[in-house]
Amino acid sequence: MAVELEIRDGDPWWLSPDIWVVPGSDPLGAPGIPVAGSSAFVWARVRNNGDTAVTNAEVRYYWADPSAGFDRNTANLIGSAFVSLNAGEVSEVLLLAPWVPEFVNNGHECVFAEAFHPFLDPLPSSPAFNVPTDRHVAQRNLTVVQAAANGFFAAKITQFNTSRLQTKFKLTAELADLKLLAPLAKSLNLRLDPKAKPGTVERLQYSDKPCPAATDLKKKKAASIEFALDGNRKTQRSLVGVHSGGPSLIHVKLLHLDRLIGGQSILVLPTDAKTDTRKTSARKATAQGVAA
Amino acid sequence: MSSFIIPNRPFASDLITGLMLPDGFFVTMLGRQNLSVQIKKQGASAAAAANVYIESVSHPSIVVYAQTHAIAPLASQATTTVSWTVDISACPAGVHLVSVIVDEGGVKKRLIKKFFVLGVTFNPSQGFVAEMPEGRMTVKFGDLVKPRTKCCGSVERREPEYEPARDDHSAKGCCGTSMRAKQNETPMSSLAEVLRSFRNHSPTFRFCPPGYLLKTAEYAWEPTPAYQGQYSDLPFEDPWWKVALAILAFLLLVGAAIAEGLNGTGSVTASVEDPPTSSGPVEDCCGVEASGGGTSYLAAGLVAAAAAAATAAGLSDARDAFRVGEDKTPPDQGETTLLEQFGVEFSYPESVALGRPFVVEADWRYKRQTDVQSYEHSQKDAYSNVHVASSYEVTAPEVAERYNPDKPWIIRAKFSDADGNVFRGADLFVQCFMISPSGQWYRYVMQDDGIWPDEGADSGDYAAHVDFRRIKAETGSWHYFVIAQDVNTAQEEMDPEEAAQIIGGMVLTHQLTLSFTEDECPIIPDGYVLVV
Repeated sequence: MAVELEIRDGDPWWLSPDIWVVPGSDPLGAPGIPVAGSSAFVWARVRNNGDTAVTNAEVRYYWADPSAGFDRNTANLIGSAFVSLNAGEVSEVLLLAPWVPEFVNNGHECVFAEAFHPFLDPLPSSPAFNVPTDRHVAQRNLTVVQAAANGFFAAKITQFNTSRLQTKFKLTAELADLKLLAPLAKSLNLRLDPKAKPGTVERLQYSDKPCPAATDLKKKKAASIEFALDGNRKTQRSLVGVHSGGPSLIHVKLLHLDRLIGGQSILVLPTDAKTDTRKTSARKATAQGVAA
Repeated sequence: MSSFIIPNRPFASDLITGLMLPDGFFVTMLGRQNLSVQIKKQGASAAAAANVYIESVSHPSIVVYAQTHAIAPLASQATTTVSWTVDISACPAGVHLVSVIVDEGGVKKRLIKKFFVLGVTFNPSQGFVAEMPEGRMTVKFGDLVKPRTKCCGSVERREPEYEPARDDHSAKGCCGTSMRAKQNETPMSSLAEVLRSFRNHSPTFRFCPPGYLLKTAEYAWEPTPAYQGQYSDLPFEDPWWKVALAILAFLLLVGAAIAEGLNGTGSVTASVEDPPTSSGPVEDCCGVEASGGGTSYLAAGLVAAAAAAATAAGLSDARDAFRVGEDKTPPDQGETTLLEQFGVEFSYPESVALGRPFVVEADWRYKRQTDVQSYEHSQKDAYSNVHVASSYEVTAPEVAERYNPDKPWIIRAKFSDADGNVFRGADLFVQCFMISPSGQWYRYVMQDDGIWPDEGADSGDYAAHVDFRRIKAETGSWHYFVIAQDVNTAQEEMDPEEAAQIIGGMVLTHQLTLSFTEDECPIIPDGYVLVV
């Protein structure tokens, strides 16, 4: 007799299809990309894979700087919700407390959700999220950037060293198959044309400049760097490049001793791309609606 | 699949008296309170059994004590009430949302409703400060109508630790006239501590407030932002300002009763500068005799409810006197209203009887301060209480056998409005308060939902089952009170001025009458049961 709560990971694990955001003032509205400074509502899809029903399981929602490597101490709690599930049941859980993405990293989302029951299915005691190994917690760490007219784009990446000791890291960036976004496309409210030619990215590299420009691009710089970071410190750099063609997906991976410990994905859209063009039906059939 | 709605706004009830707060408002000063929701089954077919729980609320500082309620199948158009405990101590004032899930056989329906949180603090120079999204209200209470003879029922009278406000006024000894405090009196900020420190109902608690009804009060309304034109936005875009006044009066009297019962000071009162004073002697009323323990908590609630009802009645449900003041003082074009002030002195030509159409007179004055000049208006009004039950009937067995499962003890009640029409279902919030011989206090919500022990959904017959075995009831003679309060039925699509005329949370039943001709005002139970 067990309760096994899960919020599914994605592929890669930081692209969970079971966490999404509804921007705007109506929590029952269409999902999409949150806007810095404007309210949004976070949802999570929670399942009970166990053989025992659970009542009043708690679902917590966090946001963090889009980065690789942070834990419950460095992430920001948005709020909590409750859910009751029968064995084998799946439910979408709304956090009614609005989230207002800050202008950190231009408001790009990085959201965590974890589901647990304090007695029947508790969380591990460690503050670390351990997303790929802990079924309770999942993450959506996706940054959407739009290339400039000349194809140049820049996305800020933050790394935390959650250890108390100085640690050496390796940061890589690689193009990925756009099809990996298919499970998330509906919740991103993006029109991703499957017939469109994938985009290309050239001169993909990291820049330490606070406001990099196209003129700062080096011809022979690699999209892989190694660095040391003191304990409990963070650092920030930008992933830059020149984009052309259709949308491109880039995976940024943080490694320690060749072990993947964190990551985030960057979706680069061409300069003329329109977001929020598809009106996904809101969840009006199953809810009374928000009071005026 | 069944269709459920929440027909009315979720409402608050305080844990001390068990009563719904005036108009169902949540108040930060109370900290923990109950959040109650009425769930109605729409459509022609009956529902299956369902589980109901709170999914989330719209502010992370609201602490929800999670609980999943199992409700039996609801008949078509039936309404049932479920409650949760929440703590809103740290919640900012304003309109908030709650998401309730009704899970019927694995199919979940999400119902989102708004509720109102009034942020209340106390400032020695300003008095009560009530924060609302549309502005800030600072309230000073002055004189109270108090009991004529003993302050504290059958308890030996203690020398009160206050001084009279004036030399030539009414009651000598007992409770004095004004609520001005001496320097060693408990400061008003302790009202929050008194209210929030409450944990259990003590069987030895004595009902002992220093006053019963408002005599004088004044408040200032600082609109946010200052506005041009004649009318301020309504608080929360719904109720009149007098609702906030009624809520604060309710809190003041409950807090004072608790404080007096705890440590004999009774002086959770206004150490404010320049409290409003009466124009003449303050007539005393009868003193409430409560037998102690549970009855005393009930007495505290009913007296506070009477104060709230009288305040609401005196300032009119149809159009708040404050609004009438705005009607009578149109500013010139281009002027910006910065501050509005309101002062009132109440008179009670009749006994204040809960659930009856007693008359309250209000001698009030209104002042509008713009960036150019000020405008004033005053008048005298007399209004009747409109929160009335013309009659109600309570039936229950006279004997309860604790260990006989074949004879469950069921209490039933029916209520009729002023026109004789029967109240039904979601019209009312009805509770039965059971008081044991030793003063223990138990509260049961009575439902008209068609679920046992109720025999017919929406029939007007409210029922509850008291399981004396489960609570390990002591044997002996218990008494009970059935208290019905009306519910704010204003719909969200209503115009604010229209919605403001509908006020809920007023007690309709007749257990308490505050008379000005008698020395004692009894609290009359609705019945007795011998528990064996």
